[in-house]
Formats: sequence, structure tokens, C-alpha cells
Amino acid sequence: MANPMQQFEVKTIGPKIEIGNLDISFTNSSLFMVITVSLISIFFVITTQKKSLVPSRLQLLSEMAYQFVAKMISETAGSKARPFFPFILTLFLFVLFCNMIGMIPYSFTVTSHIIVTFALAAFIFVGVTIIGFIKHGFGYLKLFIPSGVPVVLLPIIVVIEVISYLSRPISLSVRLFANMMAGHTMLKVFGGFVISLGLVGGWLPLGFSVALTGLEILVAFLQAYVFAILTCIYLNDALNLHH
Amino acid sequence: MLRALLILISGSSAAFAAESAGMPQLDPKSWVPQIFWLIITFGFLYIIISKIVYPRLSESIEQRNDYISDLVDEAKKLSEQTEKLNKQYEDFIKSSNNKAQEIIVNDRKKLNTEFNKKQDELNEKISKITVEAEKEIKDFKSNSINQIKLISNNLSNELLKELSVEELVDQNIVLKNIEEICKKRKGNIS
Repeated sequence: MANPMQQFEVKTIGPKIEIGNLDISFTNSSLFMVITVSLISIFFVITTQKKSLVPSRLQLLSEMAYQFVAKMISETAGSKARPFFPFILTLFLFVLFCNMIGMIPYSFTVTSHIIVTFALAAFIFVGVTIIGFIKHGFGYLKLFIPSGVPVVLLPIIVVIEVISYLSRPISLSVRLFANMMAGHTMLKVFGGFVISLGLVGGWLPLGFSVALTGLEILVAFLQAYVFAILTCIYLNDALNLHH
Repeated sequence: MLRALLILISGSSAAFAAESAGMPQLDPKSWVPQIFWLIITFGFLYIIISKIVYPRLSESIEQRNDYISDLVDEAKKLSEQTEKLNKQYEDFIKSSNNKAQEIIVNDRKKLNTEFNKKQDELNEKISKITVEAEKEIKDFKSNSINQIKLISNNLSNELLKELSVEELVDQNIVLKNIEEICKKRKGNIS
């Protein structure tokens, strides 16, 4: 049976490129990032070209994506998060398209790599923290002091809050990466079962494969949504200090 | 997943070991190019979306919302206007009804007074005529008695003259007789 982890291997395409000591070779991962970004760009640039009053089907599709994200932001982070709308939209579309393109057989899932999701999550974490300190100065540290907590418990609570805050990038990145990796591994394992059990016993894992593919498409959407909405929630903490 | 976390924390040498154990995600050699290309592609997408897609979409959606709210406003205004006109129309009908009623009442009153006046006048005329007629009848009655007296007197005188017994009959006795007759017939005349 083929190694189910083989699909996650990063292979260099073309020559090895290096700047100083840094290896920036174009890989299959890079290729799929480029494909994802090109698809999103082409789709959205073309469908928004004609700003007709009554939208065409494709224009409606891009407007639905816009309104989906707009609703998500206004419900979680309020109107103050408006300037971050393009970023959230980019993030949501990037993760969604990476996940969905990953569902195509023989393709590569960019988001199944912890380093990609962690880079995104770390960027969000650092950005949100900077925004928080710019908006509230050192008052942003009040985030770690929930209201209505007895003074005796404060030292413990503050430590817990700090740890939970610092673990945000890890939880955010691992959630997406693990979901993607687990789903694709499982699909691969069931696919392997279909082959190894052959014509006689292969039908059951094939059925599972079909069902899992549906589930994975759902997960692909859901994880993109969760990633974006958690970003909105973190942004909300930084913009409107609730505690 | 826990293992992966532990490996992340315990450093890259352990990650190499994990990579050989089967997780390509933990191969640090692949990290730098992935991060590099992620920054390039994500940055490019962000620029496309923030500079082209986002302004276009927000403009077209806002335009549509504006258009719709404009139409709603207009519809509201028109409906208000209709209501106003409707009210005006109803008021007009009500007032004209009242006016008509008033006119009818007034005319009826006027007609009534005129009719009464005419009736009064007529009654007066009738009573006047009646009084006059009564007087005439009374006059005629009294006149006729005198006339009868005179005629009878004359007639008797004539008769007596004809009979040429003028000297024989006293005038007074004749008059007395006539009056007596008259008294007897008075009931008949009146």
C-alpha cells in the first residue's frame, strides 16, 4: 500500500533558487499557491468587471462571497473592523480555494502544511496584538483580566489568560492543518483499501471514499470559515476591548 | 497532533526525526520556500482584492442598495401622497354633502315661510272679502226692509189713490198696518 503521507511531500520544480542562504525554490506547494491565487484573481476580477444593477450569475457569486464575509465581520467584530475587510476576504478566499483545490485528485493541499497555516496564524496573531496596543496602549493588557473575578483568583486567571492568548496562533494553525492532513490521509488510506481489497471487497471502502469526499468538501469550507471567523474574533478583542 | 506539537516545541532536530518517520510537514527544509511563496502569493492576492475586487464589489453593492432605498423612499412618498389625496377627496365629498344638506334645509325653510306667508295673505284676503260680503248682505238686508216699507207705502198710497178714497184713510193707520205685516214676515226675510 502506498504511503498515505507521500501526498504531502514538497518537491522542487525546476532549478533550486537561493537568495543568500535562503532556499526559495519553486515547489509543488508554490505551484498550487500560484494556481489558487490566479484562480481567485481571475474569477473575481472578471466577474466584477461589469457592475450591473441586476447582477449576472457570476457577478452574483462574487457578491455572495463578499456579503458572506461582510456579514461575518459585522456580526463578530462590528463596524470598526471595516478597514480589515479586504484582509479577511483575502484570507477566507485563500484558505477556501486552497482547501477546495486540494480536493481535486493528484493536486496538492497547501493548507495541509503546518508551516503555511502557522505563518498565516502567526501573522494574524502579531498583527492583532499590534493593533490592540495601538488602539488601547497598555490598556490592552486588561484583556488578561476578566471582569468580575475575585482578587484572590486573579494571579491564576491572568496566567491562564496569557497562556490561552499566546496559544491562539498554535490552535488556529493546528486546527486547519490537522483537519486537512487528517482528511487527506484518510481518503488516501481508504483509496488504498479499495485497491488492496480488489473487485470483491473494494466496494465498501469505495463507498466510504465517496462519503468521505463529500465530508471533506464540507470540512474544507468549514475550516476556511472557522479560520476567518476566529480571525474576526481576535480582531474584535483588539478593536473593542470587552473584558 | 500532540506529537506534532511536542516536536514543534522540542526543536528542529527532533523534527527531522519525525520527517523520516513519515510527516513531510515537519521537514524544515521545505519551510523557507513555502513561507517565501506564501508571502508572495498571499501578498499578490491581497493587493488584487484590496485594490480591484473590494472597491468594485462594495461600489456595486452600495449602488444597488442606494437604488433600492431610493425606490423605497419614492414608493413611501407616493403612498403618503395618495393617502393625502384620498383624504382630501373624502373631505371634499363630506363637505359637499354637508353643503347639499344645508342647501336642501335652507330651501325647504324658505319655501315653507313663503308658503305660510302666501297662505296668511290669502286667509286675510278671504276674511276681508267675507267681512265685506257680510256687511253687504247686512246692508242689503236692512235696505231691502226699508225699500219694502217704502214700496208698500207707495203701493198702498197708489192703490188708495186709485181707489180715490184718499180722504178716508189716514196715512198713519196704513203705515202701522204695513209695519205689522213686516213684523210678521220678518222671520221669513232674515
